[in-house]
Amino acid sequence: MRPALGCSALLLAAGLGAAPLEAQDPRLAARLPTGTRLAVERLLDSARASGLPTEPLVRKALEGESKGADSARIVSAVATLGRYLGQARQALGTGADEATLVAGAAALRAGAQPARLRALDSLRARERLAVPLSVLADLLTSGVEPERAWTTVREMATQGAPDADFLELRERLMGTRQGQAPGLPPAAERPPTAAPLPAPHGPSP
Amino acid sequence: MADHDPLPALIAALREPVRLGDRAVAGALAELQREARLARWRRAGWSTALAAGLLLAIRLWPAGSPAPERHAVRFAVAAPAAGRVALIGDFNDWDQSRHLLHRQSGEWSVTLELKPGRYRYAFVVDDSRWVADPGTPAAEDEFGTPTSAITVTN
Repeated sequence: MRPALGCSALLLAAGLGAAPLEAQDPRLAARLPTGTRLAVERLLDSARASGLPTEPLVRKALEGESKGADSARIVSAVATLGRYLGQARQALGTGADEATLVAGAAALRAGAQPARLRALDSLRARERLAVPLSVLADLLTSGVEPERAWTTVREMATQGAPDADFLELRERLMGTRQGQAPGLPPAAERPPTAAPLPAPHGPSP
Repeated sequence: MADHDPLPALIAALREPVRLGDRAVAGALAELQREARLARWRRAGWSTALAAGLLLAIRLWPAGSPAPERHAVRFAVAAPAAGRVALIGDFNDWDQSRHLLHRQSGEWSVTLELKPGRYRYAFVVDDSRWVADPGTPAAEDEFGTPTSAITVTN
């Protein structure tokens, strides 16, 4: 083999061969028992092979460890999140970034239908979906009636509302002081504001 | 005086440059071969450096668009009787030792720089009690502890 070809091929092979080592996240090795870590790493490999982000899955495993959950529960939680991330990616397309997929997965876990993620995707630029999806997840998790939550979010997306308006809607709906986004005063200094939901317009899909 | 035959000398003279030429050609060929070998190794060096640079660029180049801007987010909780409050969540690998809150008049707070996105988090009071943020929405939780969610916008 010619030296040029040989050296380059060897180096590329070494570089490509190093890729699977990424699966061995040092955080998992440091905090999870071996059996749990291996099971989680298999899920990470699967997610990686599907083109899904693995960082949210690593965080889920670390969250479980921090909360004292047993191995089965940690692995189950990671697998469930992986499934929701996959559904979110299927609904929102391969161009959706990690933040959007995480918000989409949260909305799905809270009870949103994948078709509604697709509908939202058609109404709003994909890079601006994370906040509406996150707000939808919050509304559903807090017990707002699903049709009402969806119709309101969809209506705001149709109108091209900025992200801040979605957060304000949630504040009014839930009476929280959520407002820690940039440009707003510190959350704890803001009084809760409660107001009725804006009347939804148009039929729900 | 016998005639001197110039022919042998002439032949010898003619042969001499030819023999010298043979050596020169052989030497030149050897030199060319050596140069060719060196050139191959030089190409190997450049190719190796190029491949290494390419790998390095692939590994280090930020994927997709530039990294999103981080924003200051203040987390606060009222816990007048607490001796220690930690913030724990998606932004710090759920590690209690990473972000301890500072007390000021009964309120504990800390400010983090976060990228836009959705984060789940909680406060841990005195290393044992998990407390959700009463001012932000409750988050889904598979592990049975109080957890909050925050959305950071651009």
